[in-house]
Amino acid sequence: MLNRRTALRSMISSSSLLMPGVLSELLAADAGPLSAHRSHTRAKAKRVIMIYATGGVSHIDTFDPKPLSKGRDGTGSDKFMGNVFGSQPNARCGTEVSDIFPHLRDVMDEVCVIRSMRASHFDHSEATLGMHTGSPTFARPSMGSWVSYGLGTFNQNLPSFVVIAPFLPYGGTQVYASDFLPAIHQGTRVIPGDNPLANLRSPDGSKVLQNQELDLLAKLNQQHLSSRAHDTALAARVKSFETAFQMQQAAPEAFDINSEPESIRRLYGLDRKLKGPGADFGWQCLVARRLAERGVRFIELIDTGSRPNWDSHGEMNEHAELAHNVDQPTAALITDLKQRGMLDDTLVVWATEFGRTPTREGKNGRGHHRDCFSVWMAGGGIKPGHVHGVTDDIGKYTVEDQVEVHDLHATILHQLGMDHEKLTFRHAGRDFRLTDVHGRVVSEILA
Amino acid sequence: MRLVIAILCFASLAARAGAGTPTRIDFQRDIAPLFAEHCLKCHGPDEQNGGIRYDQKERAFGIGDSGHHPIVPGDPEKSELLKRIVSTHKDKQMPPKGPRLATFEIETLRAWIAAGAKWPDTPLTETTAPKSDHWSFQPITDPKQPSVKDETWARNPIDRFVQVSREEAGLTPAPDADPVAFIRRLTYDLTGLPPTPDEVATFLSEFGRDKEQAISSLTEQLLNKPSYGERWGRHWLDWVRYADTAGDNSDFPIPQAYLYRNYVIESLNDDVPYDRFLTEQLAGDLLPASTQEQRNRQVIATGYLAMARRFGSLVEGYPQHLTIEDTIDNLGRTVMGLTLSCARCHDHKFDPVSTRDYYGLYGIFASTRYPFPGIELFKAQRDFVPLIPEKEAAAKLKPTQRETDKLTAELERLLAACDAKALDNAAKEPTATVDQQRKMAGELDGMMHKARKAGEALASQLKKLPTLPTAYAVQDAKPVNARVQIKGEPTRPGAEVPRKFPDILGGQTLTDDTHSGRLELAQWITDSRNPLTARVIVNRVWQRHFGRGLVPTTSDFGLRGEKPTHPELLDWLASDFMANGWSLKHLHRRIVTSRTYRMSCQDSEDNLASDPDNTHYWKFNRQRLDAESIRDTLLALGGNLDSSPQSEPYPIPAIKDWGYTQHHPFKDDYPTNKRSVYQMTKRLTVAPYMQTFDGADPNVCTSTRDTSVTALQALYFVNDTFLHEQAARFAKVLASGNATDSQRLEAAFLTTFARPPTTAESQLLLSHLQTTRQQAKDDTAAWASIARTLFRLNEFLYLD
Repeated sequence: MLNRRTALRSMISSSSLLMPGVLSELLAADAGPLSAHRSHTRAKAKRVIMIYATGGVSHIDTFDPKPLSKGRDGTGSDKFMGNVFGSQPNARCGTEVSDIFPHLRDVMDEVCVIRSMRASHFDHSEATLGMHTGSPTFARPSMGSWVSYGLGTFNQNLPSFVVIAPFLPYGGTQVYASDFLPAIHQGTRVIPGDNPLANLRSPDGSKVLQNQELDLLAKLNQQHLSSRAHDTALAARVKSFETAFQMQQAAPEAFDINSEPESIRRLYGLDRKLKGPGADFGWQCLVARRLAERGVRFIELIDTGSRPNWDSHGEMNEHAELAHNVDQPTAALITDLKQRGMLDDTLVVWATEFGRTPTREGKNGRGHHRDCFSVWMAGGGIKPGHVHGVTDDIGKYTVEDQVEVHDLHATILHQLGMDHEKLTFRHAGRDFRLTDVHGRVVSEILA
Repeated sequence: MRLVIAILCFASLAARAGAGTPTRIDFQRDIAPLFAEHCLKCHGPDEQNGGIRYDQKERAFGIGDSGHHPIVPGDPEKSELLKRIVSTHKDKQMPPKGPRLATFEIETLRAWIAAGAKWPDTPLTETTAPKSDHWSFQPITDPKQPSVKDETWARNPIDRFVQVSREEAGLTPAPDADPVAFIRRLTYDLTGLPPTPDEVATFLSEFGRDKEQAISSLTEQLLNKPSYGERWGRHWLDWVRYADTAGDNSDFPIPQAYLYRNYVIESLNDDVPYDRFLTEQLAGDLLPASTQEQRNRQVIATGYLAMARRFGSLVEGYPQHLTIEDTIDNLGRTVMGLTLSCARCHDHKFDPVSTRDYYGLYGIFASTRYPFPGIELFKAQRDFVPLIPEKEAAAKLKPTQRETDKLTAELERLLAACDAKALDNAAKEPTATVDQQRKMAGELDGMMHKARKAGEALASQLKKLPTLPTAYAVQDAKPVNARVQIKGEPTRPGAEVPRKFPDILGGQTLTDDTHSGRLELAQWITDSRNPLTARVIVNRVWQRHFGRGLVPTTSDFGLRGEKPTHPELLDWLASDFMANGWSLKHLHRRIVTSRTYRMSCQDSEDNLASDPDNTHYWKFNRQRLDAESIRDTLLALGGNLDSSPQSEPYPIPAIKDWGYTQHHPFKDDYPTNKRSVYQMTKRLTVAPYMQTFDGADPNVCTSTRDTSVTALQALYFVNDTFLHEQAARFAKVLASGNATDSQRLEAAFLTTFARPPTTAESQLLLSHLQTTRQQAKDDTAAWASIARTLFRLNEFLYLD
């Protein structure tokens, strides 16, 4: 409204499919941020599906299994505790994964595990924000917002950055906020269930009446617009109602997993009767694939909320229960993307806030561990069947190829064709970046 | 071990090379070129990293930010320069990157320093005090009103300044807005609510008689409404990132926060002079007060400082430096229009603000006791300020005081020990082996654990104390000067800096340093010679009236900010503001009675071609309602807006029951039908509605509200339950009584848009009404469909 750029930005936020004449003309002169735009360099990945495992997954009992089961001297008196679940290598690539992730182990030949991550903080909220925004303390835009800002989106009828989260994560809404980036880049939260996105249905349920009202609205707004023809914000708002109308069709369709064949539903484990945290994860994974197909740029899946989750202070078997719920659908997502030819240009990132201590806490649990933990990536031009980084024999410190959170972010942006040093936004007197003044592309893991 | 060997080898090499160094070293011939080659890029005329420069004797021999002297004549061992050029530690070595100095170069420097570091005195070409030609650091002028071509257009001085630039650009001003557009514009602008049909009727009839008189009496009327303070108080709350929670990882609630919010609203309604308003917020507790009531008001005002963000979950190793950082960041942006926080880790890259300036301010807040709102592992409030006489408070606490004091002393002792240990660890870290480092860290962990236990003991004692009426406010603590934190890390202390104001703004220091210095800081900030304070606030007010500031970057008047589009107008407004007692209401009057404010939003092809962004104010910028105004309007039209203030704390559970953790953060909400400014505001869980409609970020200074247009907003207008309910309420009012459909429609339009419908609109809407009646269950339901449609119109959301 204030100037052409702002107005266009607003306008593009609503739709580019509609009002093709005027809009395409405007776009030719000044492309807006939500239109799909060109990256800095050639992109390997077009979109990101980020899976966030909440609470701090033990690297020792999952993707960096450590055999030291009875402590350093074999008596267990020093409280050192190895992987409590047992492990095996993937038959093709040899990547060792614990027995609570049998399905994921089977797809490790598509996956690159980074075992040498270092967290930005020792506590949940801070480390969660660090993993999402690069800053464990001050409010900053989320990675999904940066990607939306940098690349726009392919489908104006769906938000560019969707966060499927049954519960609020640690750090609350700040985890997917756009902060100083324009608000159109903020994450839109989707809640698994019958009503995943707010306001998609009329409270009185009458479609006929709604259509009549929207027709009337368009006519009245047109009269208002006739003497204000140059105000692109007003025109954009008129279009936003058309987009909203289409979203009412497009979004429920995207969330409707009942239209998937039985085989696919089974692949994601939707035939299983699950309860507890992560019980909706099959729905989340399948919807993620559907949103990816429909052009959403950044999709994040948050498995559980701030409690209960992977934060197994007293009992590592909680890990096994959660893994039982999420293992199959997570692996299915990779398999499904692969069989559809989408894995090549979809970057799947699995992350958590930190690892867990090699020493026992409580009866059979582990504490927070910042110095090393594991994340993994698949597709999007990342080396498949690869392991990067080495930790010591108890999983306490990284001994080779430490990777910081900023490095992970730089690498993700790089795969999307963006230079993390060039993706900047001027705010409060300086150019901000997702990676602040840090970050190195981990070129060793690129295919 | 490897490191030790390396140093030994190096030392022997150096000793051998030392034999070859020239015996008589000449500064110009031997030393200055070394500085030029290796040092001046970062420690010279362009940058003075660490407060050091090697092209000035005074700054090379003086104390650096690190607290060390780069060069101590005659003593190479004490000279930091020498330590750094031989160091191989990644955080210490100089130069930090690239090739090391050659051995003979190092030995030349060593010999030169040992021989007394003879550096011929050169007359200093520059003074050490920073200077800047940048516009915002120049004194505020009182420009004369310019002469203009068309003498009939201007209504007040603002108009002449605007007119002169517009005439130069050859642009024709838009005609005046019609009175209906004007009363909606002004009423929303000053109160955040629509005008009632009665107010519209009165204004229109006065406007017909005497336009100027009508505008000025409407302005007075609106400025005198309590809703003025609610509207403009909300703007101030945007800038000071007001919230009812602390922002730590469990987002502890602050039941007393509302007192500060209400202080802001009442102060604006009372038109407290802005310099006084700022002084109270920075140092109200240090101002004289003749009554307890006045004292309480002033204490509550310091809630501004208390409002700084909190972090973490532990009392031990509590990151107080981040809370102080947030204080300085907000004070800088909101009040001074400067991004001071850039100087936390290094001298500001663009603005003339040094690290020492930053820590000069830091000391003032390090000498201030912030109230502690509670945290995951200390679930009690501490250091809140009682709002009853000191004696009375002491009497109530007497039975428990000894135990509280004992537990407090124990916690403080253990925390001090942890701090000392952390510093010691950090100091030893560079030379320690990995095993030693891990051992030291383990020892610190053990001490922290003890402190945590002591904290838990104190917290449970505090939960047992009798409840006193208190404010979330600050007090003076033991006065201390801060030490520079190298790279912003509190474990790397550098030189001590006296508490002071930034050099570029005068560099004033404390004459009496037995207090925090907050009162002096308030005086320095509100000094009429301060080039920033008045300019920044008049620009903020202008921005909220017109949608864009005269300086578009309202929180950044520094070198990276944008320049003022109308520098003379900005200065005139600032001077006029100060000359009229820093009165915000005076400033509003000036602005809204100007002709510039009165223009219509009408476009003109010619103007659009040469000034599409309207930087010359040839028309009024159409405004989108903000999140609060949309909701408040829906409540007002539905007839269920509760216009009373929230003058009680929210029903937050009692402190003794607090069990908030990061796993179960505080998430409660206490919805009411009061105005939106009174809604509970949480830092970690922002309401989806506020996110959708570009609400303020309660974590940082929200300079301007975004005005996005999104499909999610449209979905709200189409399907939101609250909107449907409000439409039904509005319809119920419309459908009651014996009026005809046309009369009802007219009433609906007058209430919503301050005008009757046009014939075309009537036809469309009445025909829709007839169709709907056939499907609707009753007449009210049919009218609800009309009401929803009106709420969705662009005319509802955008003000001409």
